[in-house]
Amino acid sequence: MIFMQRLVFFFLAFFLLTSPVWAEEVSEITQEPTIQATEAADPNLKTSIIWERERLDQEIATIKATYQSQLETYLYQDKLYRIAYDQHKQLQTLVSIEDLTQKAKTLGISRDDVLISYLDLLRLNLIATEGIELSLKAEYLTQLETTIDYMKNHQENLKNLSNRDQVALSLSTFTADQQNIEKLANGVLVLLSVGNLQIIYDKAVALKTDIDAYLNIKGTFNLPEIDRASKETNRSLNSAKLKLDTFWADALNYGGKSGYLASFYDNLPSEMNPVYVNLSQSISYLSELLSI
Amino acid sequence: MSWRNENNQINQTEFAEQAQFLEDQPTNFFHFKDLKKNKNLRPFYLLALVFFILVALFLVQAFSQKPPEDEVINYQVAEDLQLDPLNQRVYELKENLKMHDPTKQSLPFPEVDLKFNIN
Repeated sequence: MIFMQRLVFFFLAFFLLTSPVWAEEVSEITQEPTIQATEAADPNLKTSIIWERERLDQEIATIKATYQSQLETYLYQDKLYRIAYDQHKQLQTLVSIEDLTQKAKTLGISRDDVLISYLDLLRLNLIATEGIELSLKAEYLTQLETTIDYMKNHQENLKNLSNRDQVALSLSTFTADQQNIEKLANGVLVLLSVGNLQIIYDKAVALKTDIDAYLNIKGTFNLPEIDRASKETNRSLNSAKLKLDTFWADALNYGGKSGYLASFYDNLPSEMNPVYVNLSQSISYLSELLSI
Repeated sequence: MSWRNENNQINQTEFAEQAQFLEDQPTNFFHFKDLKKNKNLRPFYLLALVFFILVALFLVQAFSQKPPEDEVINYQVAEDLQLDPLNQRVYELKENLKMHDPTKQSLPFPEVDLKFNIN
């Protein structure tokens, strides 16, 4: 009897002593390896990245609010312009033409405001999105900044005009110069959309590695059901990778200037939906791997 | 002479009314059957019935009541917050993917007229 008591005490003591070691091992595995590497390399770098990210998010939120309010102002000014335009068509008086000129000028300034904010929003989102090919990102950032500068100059110029012909010329110049502005925006939207999917893919791959390591420590990695689930997850992730790689290769081959990305925008839902489905499946498999 | 003796009290210090009270002790206890014959008690029965129905309704409602949807969501969020780091990362990834559905566009090009003019 005394021997049995001692045996039970020995086992309890053994488990109490070894459990903290096991917990430490598991918690080490579950932490983000990239963050660990960054922290090990330079803890200040991680802090500055987080600060930068927070600053960008804050700036995006502020500009988004400004953009919404400017869009509302634009729609109101557009209504006033339409009324003035109709009145001028009916009356054809000097007062009506003067009113129309003023309304068109105000609308032009308001349109510039909206477009400047919108392009700035795209620019910040492009900077904040990490999963985009750097050369394409740089190319589109330059195009966005050039267009924003053009808009600002155009707006300043328009503010100083009062003559009807000058205002008309400024507005028609804008129309001629900015024919491709929507294409530029659509190209950026494609980059943002695919870039975000790329980030999710990268994170899913890192998470799969960590889950594999965790299951190895747990000793369940070689179980048949886990093996099957793991292979299925890898297959799904590889399928997403193939599609993403093909997209980036094509985008780099055709380049940003040829309008390839802008034309891709119309097919974005159908082209990228399979990647989305693959990633969705992979994440579900990862969740199942942890629950087995 | 005999009836006079009957009414006469032994204790001469008591009043007549008091004597009646002390002498007439209730012989029968309360019987529910007697109440049934009393028609004046109908409002009481009605009130008791209404009270019983109200209690029954309250109990039925209390047992059959489901938690509101908001509470269910809150419980779910609370569960999610208590997930271990790996499950937490899976959850975050899932939420992130939902936010970046390529079939939905959160920043479409604004509907501005690029061609308007005075003429």
